[in-house]
Amino acid sequence: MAKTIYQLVDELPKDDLTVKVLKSLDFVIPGEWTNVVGFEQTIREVTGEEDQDLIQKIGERAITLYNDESQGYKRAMWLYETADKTGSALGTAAMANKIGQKVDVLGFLTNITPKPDKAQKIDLTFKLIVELLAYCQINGIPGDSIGDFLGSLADEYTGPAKMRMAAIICLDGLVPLGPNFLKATMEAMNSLSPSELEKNDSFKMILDPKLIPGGINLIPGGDKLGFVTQSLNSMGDWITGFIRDRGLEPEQIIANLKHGIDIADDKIDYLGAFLDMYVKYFVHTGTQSLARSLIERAVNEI
Amino acid sequence: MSIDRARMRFILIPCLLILFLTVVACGGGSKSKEPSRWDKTSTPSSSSGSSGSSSQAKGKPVDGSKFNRYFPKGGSGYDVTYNQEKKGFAQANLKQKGKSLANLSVTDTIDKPSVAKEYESSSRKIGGYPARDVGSMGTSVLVANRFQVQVRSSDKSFTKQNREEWLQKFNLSGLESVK
Repeated sequence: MAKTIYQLVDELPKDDLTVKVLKSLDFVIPGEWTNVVGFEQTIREVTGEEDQDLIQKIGERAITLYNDESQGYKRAMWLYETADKTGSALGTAAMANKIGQKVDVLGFLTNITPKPDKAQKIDLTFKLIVELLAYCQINGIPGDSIGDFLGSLADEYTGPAKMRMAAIICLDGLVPLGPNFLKATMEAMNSLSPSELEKNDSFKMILDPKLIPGGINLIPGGDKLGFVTQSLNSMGDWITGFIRDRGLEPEQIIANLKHGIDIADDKIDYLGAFLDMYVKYFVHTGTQSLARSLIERAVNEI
Repeated sequence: MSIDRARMRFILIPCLLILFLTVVACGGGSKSKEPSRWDKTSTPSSSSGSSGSSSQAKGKPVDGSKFNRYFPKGGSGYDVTYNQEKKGFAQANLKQKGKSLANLSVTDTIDKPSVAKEYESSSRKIGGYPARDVGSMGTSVLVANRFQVQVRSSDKSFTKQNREEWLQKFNLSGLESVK
């Protein structure tokens, strides 16, 4: 049986590889993300309330809202989980590809697994689209509201949501694809065909209503690829500004990662694939963001 | 004989490793089986939940987008940014120079009758509407015996008096006409 929101938040780790990696990105948004775990603790943090009866009412209302599938919160959680799962699959494939390039005996793997760069660009785009779609599910905005999402990026993204965007840019953009990742990704996606998009293992999960909880169409309209490329292009200015304002560079991110996790210098090539396979930052920060939104609403409805 | 032992080790070690990992994985799940204060929360299919039962609901909540026009407007250094809009609920963030001060919200209590009941014992009024405090950080009024308007401080510098002032910046009389 799927876990409910209090279980998901209670089971968030205080310290594991994902948390170490996220903490190593603190330099990107200093002090803006703290690893708040535990459902009751999150209620206290979000509402500022300490009264136990009130905390109980708030928690019960938040759980009820989450469990009501028509509200969209469960679907948002599914989107976050899907982003990390497809990342894992890509990591495995990309790692096999990397091993194939290094070890002659396994050289044949290079022909049947995705090239790391193209796979990584699609994964980056996928995660950005998932972020937009999850935002719309949580906030109740119509699914094609790119403008509302961009407005929120600029004004409202704080805490775990902002850390998640920082991680997308650093771990799925700058580290595996280098400083020109945005232009290269836009070029790659602009040259993709609609059928390539629909057959892609990651995008298939969010384009086929039969695979989506509730059987709904997450991306309205017939031109799915157009929506994806338009969304990616629209986010470009914000992403460029985010990187420029902080002077972010791949070497600096890797140096900070090495403070938190043990990476041998001769394994840096595998870093992108490693992060994809083992770091579940989407689910971790997504659970925190979702819980905050639920609790903010719940305390207003009691 | 030594070859058989070597082969046995080759088979046994991976099997033991798999068994060990399985035990660890199962043991890791035991955390979720500890009783929790939230375990008894019901899982209805409607959104009424603990704030009222759907059997007592007097109708369906209106779309949250209908509330937006009754929110206070930004200006004079304040920004009002909407951040949730669901059936029966709309919420906005009040900021000053980029700093979040408060959450502003309107909730339709038509499917949550126990919320409206909370005001029956209140003799306090704000702007002519029944009022109450929600914990130590929120103040709310009930409009037309149906719409709860709440202002919640997200910064300690935003006082109870500030909350009461901003409650009255809503178009509360206009909200009475929402159906």
